[in-house]
Amino acid sequence: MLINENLFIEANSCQRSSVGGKINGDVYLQKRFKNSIVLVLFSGGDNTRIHSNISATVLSSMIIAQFDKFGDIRKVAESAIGLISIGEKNASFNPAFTIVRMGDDAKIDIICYGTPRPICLRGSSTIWIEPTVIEKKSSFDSDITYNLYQFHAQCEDRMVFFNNLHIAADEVIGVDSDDFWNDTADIIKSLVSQELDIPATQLGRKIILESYNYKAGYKVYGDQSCGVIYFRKPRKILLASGPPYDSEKDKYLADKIKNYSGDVVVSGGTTAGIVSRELNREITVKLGRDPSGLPNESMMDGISMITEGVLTLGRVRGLLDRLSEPIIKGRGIDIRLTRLILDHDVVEIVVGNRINERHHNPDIPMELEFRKTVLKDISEMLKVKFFKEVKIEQI
Amino acid sequence: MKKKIEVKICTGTLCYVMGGAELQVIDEHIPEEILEFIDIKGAPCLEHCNRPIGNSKAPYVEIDGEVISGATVVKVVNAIKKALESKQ
Repeated sequence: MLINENLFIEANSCQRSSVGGKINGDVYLQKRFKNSIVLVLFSGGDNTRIHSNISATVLSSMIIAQFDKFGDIRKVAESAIGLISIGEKNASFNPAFTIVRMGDDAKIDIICYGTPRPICLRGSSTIWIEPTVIEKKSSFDSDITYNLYQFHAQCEDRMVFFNNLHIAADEVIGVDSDDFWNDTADIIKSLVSQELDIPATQLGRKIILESYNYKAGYKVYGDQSCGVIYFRKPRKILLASGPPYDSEKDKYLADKIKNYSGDVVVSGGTTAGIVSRELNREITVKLGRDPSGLPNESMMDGISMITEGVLTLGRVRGLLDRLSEPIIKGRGIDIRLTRLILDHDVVEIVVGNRINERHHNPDIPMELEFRKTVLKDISEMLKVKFFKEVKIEQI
Repeated sequence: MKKKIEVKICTGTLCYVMGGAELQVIDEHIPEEILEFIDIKGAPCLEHCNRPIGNSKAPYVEIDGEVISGATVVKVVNAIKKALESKQ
C-alpha cells in the first residue's frame, strides 16, 4: 500500500509445517481496505492440524470481514477473543493470533493474543515497543487479555512477528526469554545486512530457515509462521501504450516519459516511434524469434523495455490472471514484462486513444482487442490481486 | 566498399498478425553469398498501415526506401535480389 509519495508498505508471510506435517495449522490473511491494510496471522491451536487450519481459516476470515463492517481493530479482536474463550473450555483448543492494522497515516496497531511481541528494526537498531495490556470482559462474559502495540512507521523500518511457536521454542531450549528475543533480533538484522533491500517474502523465508538452525539439535514441534512488513520507498513504473488521440499530445507523452522518476515501458510500435521522434532517440529493434512467439523487444536510451502493443499486453493479462503469487519464472517477452510490472509497487498506465482502423478490419484475428479493454483488465488485476497502486491516464 | 542494401522489416502488431512473424527471421532465407551486401533492420512500426496507399496491405517491408506491401519471404528475397542486380 502506498502511504505517500515516499513510503510504501510491503507485507507478506512465510509458513512451514512442523516435522512430518503436511498441513499447516496457521493461516495468514491480508486485505486492503480504503485507508488501511489489515493482516492476520492466526494459529488454529487445535489438537490436529486439519482442525487447526479450519478454525484458523474461519476465525481469520471473520476478523477481516468484521473489520470491513466495523473498521475498529480492537473491537474485532475482542469479538474474536470472546468467541475463542468459549472454545477454550476444551483443553485441546488453544489458538493465538496477531492482527496488524496499517493506516495510510503510517500509524500501525498490532494486537497480539497469545503471540509474542513483534520485533521492529530501524536501521541497525531494534525497537522494542512496550505493549498496553488490555484486560476486560468480553461480550460473552469471559475475561479477556491481549497486548496492543502501537508505533509510527518510517521509511526502511521492518516489522517481524511470529505465531506462538517461538515461545514453545523457549521452553524446549530453556533459554532466557529476553536473550532469546535479542538473539532472534540479531539474526534478523544480520539477514537484512546481507541484503539491504530484501523483500518481505524472502526475509520471512530466511527467518524460518534460520530458526530451524537455531541451537543444534533443535527440532520444530509446531507449525512455524513468520510475518514481515517492510516500509520502503515505492518502486514506480510507467507503462505507456498507444498513440495519443490528438497528435498535439505527442510531445506531452514524450516529456512524461523523459521526466519520469522510475522504470518506463513503452508497449506498441507506433507509440515507440512517437517517443523516438519527439525525444530524438534512436530505436534498435531486435529481430529473430522470441520464445513467447510474440514480436521481439526494442531498445531505446532511458526506456527499460519496448514491446509490441496489444498482443503482448493480452498475454500479460493472461499471465496475471493465472498467477497465484507475484512471482513468475520463465523466458519470453510476455513473462519478462509481467515480471517487470510485478516488481513495482506503483504502476502508472498511460493509454493513448488513437485507433488504427485497420486493426478492426474483419480479416484480422480475434486476438487483436481494444487496447483500452486489455489495459483496464490488467489494472484491475494489479490492484485487486497484487495490491499494486495503479493510476490510469487516458490521452 | 559497396553501400549495403537497407532492408527494414516492420514488427508492428498489424504486420505481425498479417504474416510478418516469419519476416523477422528473413536472414535465414537469404542465400549466404548475398547476405553480406544487405543490412537487415527491424522497425517498431513503419507507419504504412496508418497511411495506406491504394490497395496496399500489411505486412510491410522497405528495401532501400521502396515499400513492399503484402510482404512474404519469397517476395522480399526476390526484391532484394532485384535491388542487388540493379546496383551492379
